[in-house]
Amino acid sequence: MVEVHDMIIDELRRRLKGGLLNWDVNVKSMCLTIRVDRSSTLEAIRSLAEISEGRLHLTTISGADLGGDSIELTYFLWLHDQEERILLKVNLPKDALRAQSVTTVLPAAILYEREVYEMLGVVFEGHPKLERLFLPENWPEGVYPLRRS
Amino acid sequence: MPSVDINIGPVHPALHEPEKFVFKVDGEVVVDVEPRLGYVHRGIEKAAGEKTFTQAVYLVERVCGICNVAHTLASVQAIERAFEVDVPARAKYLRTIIHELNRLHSHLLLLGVACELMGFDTLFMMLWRDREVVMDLMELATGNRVMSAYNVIGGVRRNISDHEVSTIRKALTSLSEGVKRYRKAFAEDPTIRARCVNVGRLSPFKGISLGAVGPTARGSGINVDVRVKEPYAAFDEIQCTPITYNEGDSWARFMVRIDELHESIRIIDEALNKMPRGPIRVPVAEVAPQTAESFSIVEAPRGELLHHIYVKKGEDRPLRYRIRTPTYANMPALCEMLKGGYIADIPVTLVSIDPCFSCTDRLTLIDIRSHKRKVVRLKSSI
Repeated sequence: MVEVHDMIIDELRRRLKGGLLNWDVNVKSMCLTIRVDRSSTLEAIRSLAEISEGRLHLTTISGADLGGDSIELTYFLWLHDQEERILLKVNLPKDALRAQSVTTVLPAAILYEREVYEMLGVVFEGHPKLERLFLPENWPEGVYPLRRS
Repeated sequence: MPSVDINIGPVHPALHEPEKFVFKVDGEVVVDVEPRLGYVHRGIEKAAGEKTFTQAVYLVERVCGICNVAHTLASVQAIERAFEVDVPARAKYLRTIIHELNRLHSHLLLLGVACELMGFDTLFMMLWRDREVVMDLMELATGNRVMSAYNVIGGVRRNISDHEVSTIRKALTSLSEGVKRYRKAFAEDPTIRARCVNVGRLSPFKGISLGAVGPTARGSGINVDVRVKEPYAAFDEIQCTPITYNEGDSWARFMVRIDELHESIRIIDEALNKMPRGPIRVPVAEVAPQTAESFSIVEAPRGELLHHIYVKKGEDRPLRYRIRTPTYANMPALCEMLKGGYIADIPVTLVSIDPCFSCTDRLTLIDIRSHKRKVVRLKSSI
């Protein structure tokens, strides 16, 4: 378990350099949590996809406004080959809610990014069709139901 | 050749849930699919943030009536992990048993729906007759047929007596005989094979990149099963084998579920044998003892289900409650399966991911050159 974590962190450190902010292993779940800079999101996902030889499963992207001045995105990933669960975290300041779309590497993100966009107002740059997903067509512009402000 | 858009839904007498798909077709072949989701978006994530932890479990149970046990299980496990609560061993086994009973009823329901859709009404009735056996066991063990409210934070709500254990064993032995017959029918019946084999194909590569989960992924040979890969409840002590088929078509996805019926019956039997005696519930604080983030992933009948929560010290409500259901994850893979298939195969492919969809009876034809629309009944157009 530990060697796999070391290998992943070494690879991410080499590829992302300063973009890799910190990491941590949850003692109970033995699950690796990695925090990266928002400009390194796509590169981090690409690196993990290469580590698992393209067999990278995106469970979901979970966005949370916890009341501070930033919004936290959590990418729940499963590496099929290594059988490892990884949580990739990115913080976005509320005054510039722009994130890199990962749909080019993981097409599974298409719907999840649309959901985070409509619920929290995060704009994913590079998304092929960033439109509303669940909310009705007459929902007012600029109102994001899961925002705290 | 004019491009034709077929609208299915959102409200349709044969659909069990409102959802809309617009199919772009060229002759009889589906070229593209555009799903329109959200007709039953009820804002449960937002509402869960305004309920106490105890109330939130009952609320999230209502995300899905069919797999309610999977939702309460994921919910209580996420809260227990945030609160650092250890659940008694017997409660973990009881949770596993009810979770698998829930899977049995859900798979039997889906297989019945699939048979009805293929015009095989006899098998549909037989499957649903046997599903009643499982519903009776659910009522015996939890007190209710559908919404069981069985899992609570810190354990489970009811114990199972020795007498009830023998009733469950007896009922499952007879169910097992029935499942053998259904397996033979699905594996060999020419009508079922003609409707399902090579219909709605999904390659393993596409399955992974589009994020397919559960029986949908396993039908394409992807070896995933949360019960095995990330064991929860009593699955770290119970043997469980992921069922995979390499064909990647609708037939494979149905066969995965049939074999999982046998596997679930075996898991319940093993859990009943190994279940230790002791308490079934521990008291848990009403407010969060620390600020934490936690998640729980379980294998719901339709696949990987995630509950993700943030809690704040001293608060009795979650800061953020996030749920990702399996059918939502399977949506991009479903669109991929439908592309290149025939219009007549849409219902079988839809039902093969278990989203509770069925046939179409209304078409909107759009002539690209004249932009004229006309609505016709599907039957009169074939």
